[in-house]
Amino acid sequence: MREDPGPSRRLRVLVVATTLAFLAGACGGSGPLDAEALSHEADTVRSTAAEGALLARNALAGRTTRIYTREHATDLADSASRTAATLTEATAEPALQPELQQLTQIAAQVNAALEQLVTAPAGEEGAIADQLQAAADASRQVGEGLT
Amino acid sequence: MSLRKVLAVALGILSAIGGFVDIGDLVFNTQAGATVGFQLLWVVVIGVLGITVYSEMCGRVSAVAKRPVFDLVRERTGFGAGLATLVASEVVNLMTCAAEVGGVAITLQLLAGLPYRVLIPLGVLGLVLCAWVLPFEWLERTFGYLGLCLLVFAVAAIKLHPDWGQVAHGFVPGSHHGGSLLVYLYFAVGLLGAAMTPYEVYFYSSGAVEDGWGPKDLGLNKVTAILGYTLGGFLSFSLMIVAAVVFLPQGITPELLGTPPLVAADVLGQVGLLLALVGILFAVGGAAIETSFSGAYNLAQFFGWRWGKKERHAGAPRFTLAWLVMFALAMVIVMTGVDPVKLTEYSVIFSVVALPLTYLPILLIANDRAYMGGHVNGKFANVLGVVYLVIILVIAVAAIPLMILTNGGQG
Repeated sequence: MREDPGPSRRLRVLVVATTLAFLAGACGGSGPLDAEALSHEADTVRSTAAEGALLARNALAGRTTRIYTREHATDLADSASRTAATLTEATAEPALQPELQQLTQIAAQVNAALEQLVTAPAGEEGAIADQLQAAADASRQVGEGLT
Repeated sequence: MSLRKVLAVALGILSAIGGFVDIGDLVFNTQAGATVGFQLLWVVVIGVLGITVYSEMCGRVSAVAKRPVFDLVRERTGFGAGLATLVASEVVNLMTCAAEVGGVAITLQLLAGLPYRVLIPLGVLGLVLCAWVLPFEWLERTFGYLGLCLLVFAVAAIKLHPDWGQVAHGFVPGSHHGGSLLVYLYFAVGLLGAAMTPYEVYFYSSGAVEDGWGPKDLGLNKVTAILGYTLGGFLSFSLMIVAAVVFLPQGITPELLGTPPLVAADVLGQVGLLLALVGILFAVGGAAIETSFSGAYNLAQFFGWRWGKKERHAGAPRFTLAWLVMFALAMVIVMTGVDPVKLTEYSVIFSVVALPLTYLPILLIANDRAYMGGHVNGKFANVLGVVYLVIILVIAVAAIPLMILTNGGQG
């Protein structure tokens, strides 16, 4: 007959199981994206695009230095590139495929616009700001449609 | 008090204000403002009061016992508990130091445009040179005064004309509405952790010994702790307010150290941008030196080595080697390509877990007549100390689960 493992062992098992559940949740797995995960990606794209638009508008108004604009736009472009790569490789539940494709396109557009901002001559930042703001608005709409 | 003494106190307070903000405050205050608006301003008040209470205790212990807190921690709590405290604080110190070094390199990159990986060793070299050459008082003051450039965020906060009624409502504890409660709690824990980082009290306590404080300096200790941290807290409020006004409505979540200065540019133009960048450079650079020194102070005091910036380098070789090694390890960590902002988030959350190991021994020693004589904690200090210990225990338990459940505050 097996002995009762006792409360302390049961507690240890519970702690380990809870920790593993947390870690599994944190890792996120590689399954198809659900509406919540896709909405989170939409927020990320929106944030990068909106920040890029704010940067471009301030650059156009002469409120930033050229070095700051170039370096910060590069960092934002890297961030957008990572998000675009994640979305390109991701799959979504069948009903969410159109949103995933739309978001992937927007992320790629944001990345391209930010790369343009890195080397944009003075005066061209306005058009880039408009593109990025449009992308931010579009990703917000995608996100709102998912919640 | 003579005019000269008043001036010395004022200068000390100014450097404490400028030295209040580090990369953890920059990251958590702006992210919290951009995510939940003004709702967590009350947590900054709680955090500032907590660090004030315990720094005052640490300064008092050092001034009365003429020994820094870590020295007494081992003696009072024994080798095992002392070693656990040492290991926890050194891990957090190193993570924080690495995050600050990364922050210095990023800020230099935004100012000078040189490659990030070149600026990491250059930044470390600059910090090491400053720490090697400048006397303790000058280190504190140079980085503290130039860190005052961060006041540009206070100016920006005023010029943005926030809804002051909403701002005032943010000081009401527990004023959560809208959005995820878990995310709100995660940022509450992070803000407390950022305000009450352990290295600050160890550095403060060792600094008191370095400055030769005695019982006659207890008034100075109280004034410096209360005014320095309280006024420094206004920088935290400013960061949260500007993020709430500019970033939240646009859905911007600051994930880069270059994001907060964008507000200063938006409101005040190039001068604002440059002041913000210089302020961040010196605030983060000063914190990098403080964390490396804090790591060396703790090691030296635990093992009974000669220590102190006032000692010549050859006079305290193991202490000197310890802070140099801290810088070297921090540089190696950042050179691996780890994101300093993510590292900051982890270091703050892990520091929260280690907070009880830091603050419980301080409370015990500040109540021990064998060390403190007639200068033990009064009732008020003890009530606050115990209340904060309970808060610290609760957030230490909640910190890592909240980080995992909210995906680092991203919901």
